[in-house]
Amino acid sequence: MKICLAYLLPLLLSGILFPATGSCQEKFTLSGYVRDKDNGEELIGATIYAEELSQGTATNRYGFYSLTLPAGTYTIMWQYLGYEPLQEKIVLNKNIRKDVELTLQEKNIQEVIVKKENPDQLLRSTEMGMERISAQEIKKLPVLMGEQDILKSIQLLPGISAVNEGSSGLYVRGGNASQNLILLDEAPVYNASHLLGFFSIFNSDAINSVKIMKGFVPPSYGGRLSSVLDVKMKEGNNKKFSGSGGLGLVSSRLLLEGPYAKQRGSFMVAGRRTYADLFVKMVPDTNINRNSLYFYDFNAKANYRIGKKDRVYLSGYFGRDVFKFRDLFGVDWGNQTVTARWNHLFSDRLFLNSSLIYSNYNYNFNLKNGDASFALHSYIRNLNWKEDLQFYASGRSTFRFGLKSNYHLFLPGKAASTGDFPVNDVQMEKRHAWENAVYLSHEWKATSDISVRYGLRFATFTLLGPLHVYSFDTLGNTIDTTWYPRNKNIITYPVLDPRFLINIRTSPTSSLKFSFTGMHQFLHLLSNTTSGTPLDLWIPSSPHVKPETSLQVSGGYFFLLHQAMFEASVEVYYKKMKHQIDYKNGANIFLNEEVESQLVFGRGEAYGAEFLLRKNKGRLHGWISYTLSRSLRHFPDINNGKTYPAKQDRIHDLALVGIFDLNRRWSFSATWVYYTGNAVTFPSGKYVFENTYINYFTERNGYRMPPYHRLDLNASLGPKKKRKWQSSWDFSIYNVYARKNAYSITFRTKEDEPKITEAVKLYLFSIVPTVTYNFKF
Amino acid sequence: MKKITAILFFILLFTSCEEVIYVPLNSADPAIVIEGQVTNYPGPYKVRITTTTDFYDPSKVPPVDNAIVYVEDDLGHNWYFTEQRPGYYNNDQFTGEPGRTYSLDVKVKDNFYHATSYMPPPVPIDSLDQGYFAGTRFADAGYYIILYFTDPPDTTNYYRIRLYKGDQAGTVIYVLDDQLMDGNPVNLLLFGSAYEAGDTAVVELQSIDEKVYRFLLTLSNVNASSPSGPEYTPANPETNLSGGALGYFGAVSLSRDTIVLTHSK
Repeated sequence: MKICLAYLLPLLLSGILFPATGSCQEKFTLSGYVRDKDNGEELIGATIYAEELSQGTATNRYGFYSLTLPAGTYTIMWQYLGYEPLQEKIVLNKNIRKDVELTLQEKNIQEVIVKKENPDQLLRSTEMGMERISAQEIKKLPVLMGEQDILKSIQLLPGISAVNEGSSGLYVRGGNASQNLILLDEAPVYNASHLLGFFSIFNSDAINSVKIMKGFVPPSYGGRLSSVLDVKMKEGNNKKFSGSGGLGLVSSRLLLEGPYAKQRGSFMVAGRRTYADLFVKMVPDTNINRNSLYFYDFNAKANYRIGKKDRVYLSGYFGRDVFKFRDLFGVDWGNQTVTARWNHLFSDRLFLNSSLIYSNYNYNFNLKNGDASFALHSYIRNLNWKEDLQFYASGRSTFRFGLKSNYHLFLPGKAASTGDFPVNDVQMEKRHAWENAVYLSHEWKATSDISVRYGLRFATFTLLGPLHVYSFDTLGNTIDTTWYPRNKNIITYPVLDPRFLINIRTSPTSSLKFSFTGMHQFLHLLSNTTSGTPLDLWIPSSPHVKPETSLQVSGGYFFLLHQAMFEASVEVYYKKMKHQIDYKNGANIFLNEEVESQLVFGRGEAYGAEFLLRKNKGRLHGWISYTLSRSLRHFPDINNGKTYPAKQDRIHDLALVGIFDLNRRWSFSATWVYYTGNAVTFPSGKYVFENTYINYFTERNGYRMPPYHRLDLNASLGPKKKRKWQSSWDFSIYNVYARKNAYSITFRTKEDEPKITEAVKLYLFSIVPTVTYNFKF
Repeated sequence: MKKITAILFFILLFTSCEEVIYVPLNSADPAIVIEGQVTNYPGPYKVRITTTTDFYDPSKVPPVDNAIVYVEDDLGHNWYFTEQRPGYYNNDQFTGEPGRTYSLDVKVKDNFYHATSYMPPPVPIDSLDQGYFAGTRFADAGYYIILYFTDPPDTTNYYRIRLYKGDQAGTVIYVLDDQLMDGNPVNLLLFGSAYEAGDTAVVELQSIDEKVYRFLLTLSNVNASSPSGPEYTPANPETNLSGGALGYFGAVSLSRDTIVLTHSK
C-alpha cells in the first residue's frame, strides 16, 4: 500500500509546521491486540518496539496497537510492566495483523540479568505527570482493614496525597478533591468514596488498570482542573471460567468471569459488601442493634467480538451506602454507571470507539419523629455520547480526534414532609446543562530523539432553561429574577484548552520533557467538608458562577541508573487557577434556591517539585517519592484579601515503599509516609460572650496540623503452585508504631472546669492489625 | 444539615480517641468585645465591654472601664448607660418597644463603635411539652423540652430560643429562620439541654432581626463549648458593630413560658 496519500491528512491538519518529510517508500502496518495469556485481558499501555528503527508505539485503552513502518525485517518487542517481554522477527512485506499474548512474570528468585537493550517506556513516552500502578504491586502493599484500594495506593506516588487519615479522597498537585475527574469505564463518578471516604468505590478485584494524569492531560479528556483518574474494569477471562474472592474482617468479595459463545465474548461480575452491621445486630442493646452502617457494590461487564474488526462492550457499576440510626433517621447514597461501547477498526490504522454513557449519583435522607417524617432527595445525572478516533498515520505520527456531547441534569434537592413536621414541601428547580467538546491531537516523532504531542480541545457549556436566574448585589441580597423557559439558552461558555508536550531524548538513558495544559471545570462541588459527604451539592456554571480554569506548565527530567536497575524522575510544575469557589462565613447552602449568593470567588496558584526513585527489579523493589510543594489561594473576601495557604498546602510529602519477595510464596512489604500537616485555622485568642468562651481568629489557615507519619507492614502468603483452588493470605498491620496522628484539633472549654480552655486532639486509629483470606479458582 | 453530617462522622469515628494536647498559639492584639441587648421586657438593660485575651490565659477576661455608652431609638430618645462595676454598663430608665429600631454607641478612649438593631414583634409560645430520650453517644439521657409556636405567615422571621434551668441560662445557642416553614405550626425538640424530673425550665422565644440572627448563627460555629469537626473552617462571627469590635448589639422581643418537668416515659 502506498503511504504517500495518507500523508495528505497530517499535512492538512498540521499545516506548514510539520511538512511531510517522508520519502515515498513502500510502508506496511503491523497491528493487533496485546493480551494477558492466562485470562485474555487486554493490556493497556503495553509497548511495541522495532529495535532496528528505534520506533515504537503503545496499546490504546482497548489494548489495540498499530505501527506503520517501511518494508523490511524487524525485531519487534512487545512488553508490559510485570510481564515477560516477547520478541519476534517480523518480515514486514505486507500489512500484518498480529495479536500477541504476554505471560505474567514469575517472581524473580535470582537477580534479574539486566538486558543490554532496554528501551524504556519512561524515556520515550509522550506522557508526563502520569502515574500508573500495576495490580501486582497493589496486591503486595499493606492496607487498612483488609481492603485493597487503588485510590490509597496511588497516594504513595509523588504529587498525590490523601485528603486525611484513611481517606480515599485525593489532593493532586495542590488542587482540591472535587477537581479530579474520576472515570470508571469512561463514566464520570461524582462520589468515589464509601463510608465517608474510608473505602473507595473501586473493587480492586474488578479493576484492569488505573492511570492518573496530573500534569499533561491529553486533549481527549477535559472537565476538571487537577487531574484525570481513568479506571478501567476487567473484561473477564475469555479462556476459562474462573473466580476469585476474599474474606476480610470488614467485608467480603466475590468475582466470577468466563468466556461465552465459543470465546467470542467474555463476562465479569463482581460484588462486595461490608458486614460490620451484621455484628451490630447481634448486640443485645437495642440502642445499638437498631443502627446500621454498610455498603455494597456490584460491577458487571460483558463483551462480544463480531468478526475481527468489531467488538462491543457493556459495563455497569452499582453501589450504595446505607446508614440508619434507629428509626430516627437514615441516609443512603450511591453511584450508578452504565457504559455501552463499540470498537471498530475501519482499517488496520484507523480505530474508532463509540460510547454511550449514563451516570447517576443520588442520595436520600429520612427523618422520623413519631408519625411525622421528612424526606430529602437529590441527584445528579448525565448522559454522554462520545466518538473517539485514532489514526495511525505512520510509525512516527498518530492522530487522535473526537467529539463528545454530554447532557447534565441536577436535582439540587426535593424535600417532603408528612404529619406535623414543621417543614414545607420544597422542590428546588432542576438544573439542565449541555456540554459539548471536540478535540484533535497529534503525536509526532519529529526525529529519533524528539517527539511532540500537541492538540486542542474546544468545549462549550450551556445552561438551559427552565430556570429562574437570580442576580445579587455585593452583599448577596437578591436584586432581580429572570425566568428562562424550557430549553432557552441562559448562558454559554465557550472555552479552548491548549495541550502541548515535548520529549527530548538527551542520552540513551535520559530524557527531558516539557508540557503545558489548560483545563476548565464546569461543575462545582459545594461542600463544607473536604472528604466528600453523601450530602454534597454539585452546581453547574451559571451567569454568576464562571467555569474554573487552570493553566499548568511543567518540566521533567527522567533517567535510568545502574543499567536500568533504577528509574528516577524529577518534575517541577507551576499551576495558576482562576474562578475558584469558597463559601461566605455561615453560608446557607441547604435547600437554598439562591445558593449562589452564598459564594465568594478567588484565584489560586500551586507549584512544586516531585522526586521519584524506583527500583523495579530484583527481590527487593519499591520506590521513594518526595514532593516539595505549595498551594496558595487569594480571595478578596477571605482573610482580608491577603493570600493564604490552601488546606491541602502540604509542603513536604514523603513516601517509602519496599517490597521483598522472600520466595515463591512469601513476600513482605513496608510503607512509610510522612507529610506536613494541613494548613488550618486555629484561634489566636478568646473572648467571653454570655459567660462562655468564644475562640478568636485572626487569619485563615495560619497554623499547621502536626506532621503526619505512619508505618505499615504486610506479609502475603501466596498460593501453592498448580492447584485448582488457590488460596492466599494477607497479614497487615496499619500504623505499626501506633502514632496518634491528629485527625482534628478542637479548642474548647474543659468539661468540668468551664473557666479553663484547652486544645483537644482527635485521632482515629492507633495500631490496626488485619488478616484477609483470598481465593482463586 | 451540617449537624447531621457531624453526627455521621461521629458515629463513624466511634473507635476514635481524644487527647488533650498543647498547641503553641499566637497572642493576638487585644480587641474590644461588646455585648448589649434591649428587649420588650423591663430592664435594667446591660452592655458589657471586655477585650480578647490569650487562649490559654486562665484568668478572667479584662473588663474595659471608663467607656461612654448610650442607646438611642428611632424617635430620637437617648439613654446613657452608667458603669456599675468595671466593664458592666446599665440603664433601667426605659422599656424597649417592638417595631422600633435602636442604636448603640460606645466610645472607648478615642475609638467609636456603633450598631443598630430592629426589634421585631414578639411571637407567642403556644405551649411547652416534655419528651424523654434514652441517651446516645451524642446526647445525654433525660427530659427534653418540646416547644410549640406558630410562625406568622408571609413575613421573614428569625428566632433565637434560650433555655433556662431555674434562673441558670443554658449555653446552647438555638437559632432558626422560617425559610422552610413559613406560616406553619412549629414543634421543636430542643436537643442538647437535658433536664431531670422536678427541674423548672424557662423557655424564651426571641424574635430577632436578620443581622442578629447572622451573628448568632456564625457564632454557634466557633463557640468553644460546642464540638466542631475537622472539616469546618472557622471564622469570627459576623457582627453588626462597626469600628472593628467583636460581639453584637441586639434589640429582641421575647415570649416566655415555664414548665416543671415530671416523671414520665
